[in-house]
Amino acid sequence: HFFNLDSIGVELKNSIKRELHCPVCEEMVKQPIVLPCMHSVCVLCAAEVLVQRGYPPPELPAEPKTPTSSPITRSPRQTRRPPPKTDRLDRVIRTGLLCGTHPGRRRKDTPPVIMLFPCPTCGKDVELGERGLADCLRNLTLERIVERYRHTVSLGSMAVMCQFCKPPQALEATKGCADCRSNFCNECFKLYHPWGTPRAQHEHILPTHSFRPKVLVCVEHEQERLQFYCRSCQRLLCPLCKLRRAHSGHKIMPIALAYQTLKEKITKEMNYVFANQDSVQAQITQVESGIAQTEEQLNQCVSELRSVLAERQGALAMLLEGARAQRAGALNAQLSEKQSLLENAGLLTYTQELLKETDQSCFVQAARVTHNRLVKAIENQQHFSLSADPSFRHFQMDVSRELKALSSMDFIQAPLAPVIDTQKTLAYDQLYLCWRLPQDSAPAWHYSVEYLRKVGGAGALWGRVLSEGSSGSNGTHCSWQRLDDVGGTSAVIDKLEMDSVYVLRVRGCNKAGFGEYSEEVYLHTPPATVLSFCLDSRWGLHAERVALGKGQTYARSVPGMTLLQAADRALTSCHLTSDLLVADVSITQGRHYWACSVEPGSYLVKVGVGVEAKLQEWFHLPQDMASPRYDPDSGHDSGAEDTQDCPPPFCFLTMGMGKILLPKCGASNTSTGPLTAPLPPRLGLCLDFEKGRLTFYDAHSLRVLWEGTVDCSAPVCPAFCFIGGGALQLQELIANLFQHC
Amino acid sequence: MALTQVSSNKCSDGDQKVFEHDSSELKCKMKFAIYLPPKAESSKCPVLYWLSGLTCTEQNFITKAGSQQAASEHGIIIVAPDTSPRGCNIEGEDESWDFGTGAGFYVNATQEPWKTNYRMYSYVTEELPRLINSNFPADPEKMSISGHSMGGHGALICALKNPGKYKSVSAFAPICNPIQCAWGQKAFSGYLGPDKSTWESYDATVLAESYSGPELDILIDQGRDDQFLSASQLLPDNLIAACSKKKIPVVFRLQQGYDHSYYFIFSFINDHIKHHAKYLNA
Repeated sequence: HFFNLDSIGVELKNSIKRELHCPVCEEMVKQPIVLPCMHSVCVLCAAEVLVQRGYPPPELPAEPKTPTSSPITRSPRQTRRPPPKTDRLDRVIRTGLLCGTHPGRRRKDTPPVIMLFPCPTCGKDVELGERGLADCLRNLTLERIVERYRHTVSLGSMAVMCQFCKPPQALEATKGCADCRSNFCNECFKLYHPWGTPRAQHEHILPTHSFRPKVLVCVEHEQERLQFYCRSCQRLLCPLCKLRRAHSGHKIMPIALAYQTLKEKITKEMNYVFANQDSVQAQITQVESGIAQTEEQLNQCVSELRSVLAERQGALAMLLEGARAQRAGALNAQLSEKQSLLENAGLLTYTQELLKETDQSCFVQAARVTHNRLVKAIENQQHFSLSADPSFRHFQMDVSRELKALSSMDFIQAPLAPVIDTQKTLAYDQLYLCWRLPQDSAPAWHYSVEYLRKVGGAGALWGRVLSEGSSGSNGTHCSWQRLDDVGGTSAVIDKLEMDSVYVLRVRGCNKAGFGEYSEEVYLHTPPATVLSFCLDSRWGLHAERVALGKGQTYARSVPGMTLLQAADRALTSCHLTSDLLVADVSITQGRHYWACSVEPGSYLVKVGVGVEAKLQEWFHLPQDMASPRYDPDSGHDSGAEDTQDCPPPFCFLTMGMGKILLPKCGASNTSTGPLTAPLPPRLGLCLDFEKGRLTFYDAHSLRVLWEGTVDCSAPVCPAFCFIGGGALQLQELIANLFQHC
Repeated sequence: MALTQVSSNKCSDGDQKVFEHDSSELKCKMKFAIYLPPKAESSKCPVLYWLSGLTCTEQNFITKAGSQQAASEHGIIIVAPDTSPRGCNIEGEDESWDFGTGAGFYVNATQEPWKTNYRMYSYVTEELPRLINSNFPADPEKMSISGHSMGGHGALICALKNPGKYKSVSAFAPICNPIQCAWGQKAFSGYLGPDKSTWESYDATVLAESYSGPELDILIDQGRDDQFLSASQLLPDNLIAACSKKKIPVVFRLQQGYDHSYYFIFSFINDHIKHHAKYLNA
C-alpha cells in the first residue's frame, strides 16, 4: 500500500515533493521518462537540454497504443484530445523542431547520433541509445504518484465534473476510468461499465484531467506489451525483444515474477528502515527516561537532606529555646532582686544630702544609721552574682565537617583500582590473591577477579607487577577467566596448571558499576605438583633443641638447657649443634615441589633432600661440627673427586647471614671466591626423582638459584638442618590455609 | 464471447446475477451465477468459484446457501457455474442422476459419446475464469475455489492440479477418493474408460500424495450424520492420511448432527468464506 497521502504531515509532504521533482526544471515532473542511469526527468526538459547542448532535436517517446483504441473497449464518448500545450512545447515547435507524434515522420534521414545527456543527479553524461530519448520509457508510476499527490494537495480546488450526466443534472465526478480516459459519477460509471461486458474490467482511478495510457509498451515493437524483465540488463522486454541476440544467456523472467520479487524486496527494505527508525527512537526514549529517572533520584536525595536539615534546625532551635527559657527564668528572678537594690537610689540621694550637713554632731547622728545601711547595701552588691551563665559557650556550632561532607557530595563513584598486596599474594598449589582499596576510593560491594594463563612456562619472567598491563600487548591469547562476586579482599584460584605464568587482576564493583582494574600481577606456578608434608617429630633426640610449632610446619632451633649449661662453663671453645629435621613423607617417584621460608636472622640452615635411610643412619650417629672426623657437607664432594660416578645420597644448600652459598660444579671457582645469592623470602625446591635432580628456586619468581644431583635409588625425603639458632616455616597449602567456597 | 444477463436481484447490498453464454469448451449454452459485492463498484474484487454437487444447477447455491451476506462483507465475487453441459442430446445423459446431466464430475471426458461436450475441467479452470476476468471487475490474480460433494471433489482436484492458481481451497462433504467409491467408479469408467491409471489424475487423494507446490490451506466440513459418509462414498480419511504424509495443512471438522443437505452448507458457509477471505484479501 502506498503512502496515505491524505494523512501525512507538512514535513513529510515536502520530503515527498523532493522525490517528485525534475532535476532540470526543479518543479514536479511532467510526463517523466527514465534515463539509462535510472533517473527521471520531464520529457520536454530532456529535449530542451539536448537541444541546448547542440544536438539535433530529439525524437520524443511515442504515444503507445492502449485498450481504448479498440471501439468495443473504448468509452462511447471518448474524444481524442490534443496534447496539452505548454510554453516549452511551443518554443520547441516554433524553432522548427519536430514533435515525435507528428504522423509520417517516423524515420530520420540523418544517421543516428549517439547523444550524451548530462544528468544533473549523476553529475555526469549518460549515453542515450540509438533512438535517443525515444528509447527511454515513460515513468508512468511516477506520473501516477504525482497525480495522486496533486490530487490530495488540490483537494477542494476546482472539482472535476462527470462527463456523462445529462444536463441539467451534471454531478461531480467520483472516479475516473483509465481505459475510457473520462470522468464519471457513480451512476454513470455503472451505466457505461455494465457487468457482463468487457468494459466491466476497466481500471478505476481518481478523477483527473490528465489521463495517461495505462500500460507501457515496447519502444521498438509498438504493439507489444512489456511482459518480461531482463535481470542482467535491468531492462523491460517485450516478447520480440526477448528473442534478440543481445539478451542471449541473460536472466530473463516474466514481469509478474519481477513484480513480485521487487515488491517483496522493497517492502522488506522499507520495513527494515521503519523498524530501524523505531529502534533508534526507542533508544532515544530510553535515554531520556533514564535521565529523568536519575534527575528524580537526585532531587529526592537533596530533598531528603533538606528535610533532615530542617529537622535538625528545629531540634537545635528547640534546645536553644529551652536554654534560653531556663536562663531567662533564672535571670528574671534576679532582676527583681536587682530592682530592690535600686531602692538604694533613694538611700544614695539621702546620703548625698546628708554629706552637705556641716554641723558635726547632727551629721554623726544621722550618718551612723546611714553608714550601717550603706554597708549592708555594699554587702548585697558584692554578693550578687548572676545565677545564670550569660555565655552561650555550649551552644556554638561547628559545621565545618558537615559542610565538607556536603560539598563533597557526589554521584557514587565506582571503586578505584585496588592495590594488590604483593607480600601476601602468592602462587603455590593454588593462587592466592590479596588486595585492598585505596583510602579515598568509594567502597566496593564485591570484587571481580580475572586471571589468565599465559601460554608458556615460567622461563625468565620475573614475578614483578607490571604497570598498565594491557592484554593486547603480547598478541592474542585466550580470554580472561573470572571469579565474580568475591566478597572480602582476597581470592583463591584453584585448578592450576603447573609450570605456567598466570596474570591476575581485580576490580571492585558497587552501585555505579565496575571500577578500574588493578595493575596486573604475574604469578608463576610451581614447576611440579606441590608436595605437602610436616616436619617429623618422631626422632626426638634433639627435642630439647628444636621446637616444633604451628602444626609441625614451623621449627625453631634453640640452644637447649644442656648447651646453656655447657656454654656457662666454657668461654673460648664453643659447641655448635647440627640438628637434622626430616619430612614425614618420602618421595619414590615423579616430580615434586615444595617451598619454605628461612628466618633471615637464622645462624646456619641447610635445606635440601636426602635418602631416607642414609639420613636415618646419620641421625642415630649425630655428627659433631667440631669433630675432625666431620666432613663439611656442602652438597657434593668439594675437590675430593673431580669425576663422580654416582650422585651423593643427599643434596643441600647452606644459608646463613641472609645469603645462600651456591657451590660450583667443577673446581674453577677458587679464584673469584665463593658465590652467594641473597636469601629470598621464600625458597622453592623441586625434586625430579627419575632424573635425580634437585632444583632450588626463588619461590616467588621461580628463578632458578641452583641445581644439584642426588642419588634416587631409594626413597628420598625433604630435610632441613639447623646449625646454631634459626627458624624455618614450611609453606602450607593454600587450600588448607584459606577456607573458601 | 457475449454474455447475456438472465436475471439480476439486489442482495445484501450487492447484486446476484445469472448470465448465459455460448461455451467453446462444452459446445453448448451454459449459465452461471455471479454475486457482485458492493465493493465491486469501486474496485476490482477477488473471485471465489463454487462448484455444486450431483443434480444441481447454477440456482441451488445462490438460493439455498445464504452466501451473499458474507460475500458482501468480505468484498468477494462468487461465481457458481452449472454442474454439466446441458441440452447436448447425448444418448443416456438423463438416465441416471449420478452420471451424465447434472453429474459432470469436473473431468475432461475421453470416451465417446461424452468427450465432445463433457469437458467441465477445462471449462472451470480455463474458459470460465477468462470470461469472468474480461467482463467483470475481477482481480485476475486472486482466485479461490470451493464446492459441495461432487463439487468438493472438483474444487480439490482443481486446486491440487494447478498449484499456485488458487489462493485457498475448501469443501463441504467432498468425494475425496473417487477411485475407491461407487460414484467415482461409475463416472470415471463412463467418462475416462476402463484404464484406471487415467482416473488417478482426477482423484484428490492420489493427487495429494504427489502434490508439490505452494502451501495449500484446506478446510473441509463434513456432517457426521451424512448418509453418504456412512455409505463409503466420501472417504475423507483417505485424503486426510495422504495430506498428513505430505504435510499439507488440512482442517477437517466433523459436524455433529449435520447431513448432506444445503442446510448443512448454509450453517457453515460463513466460515468458509472467511477462510477464503483470509487469503484473497491479504
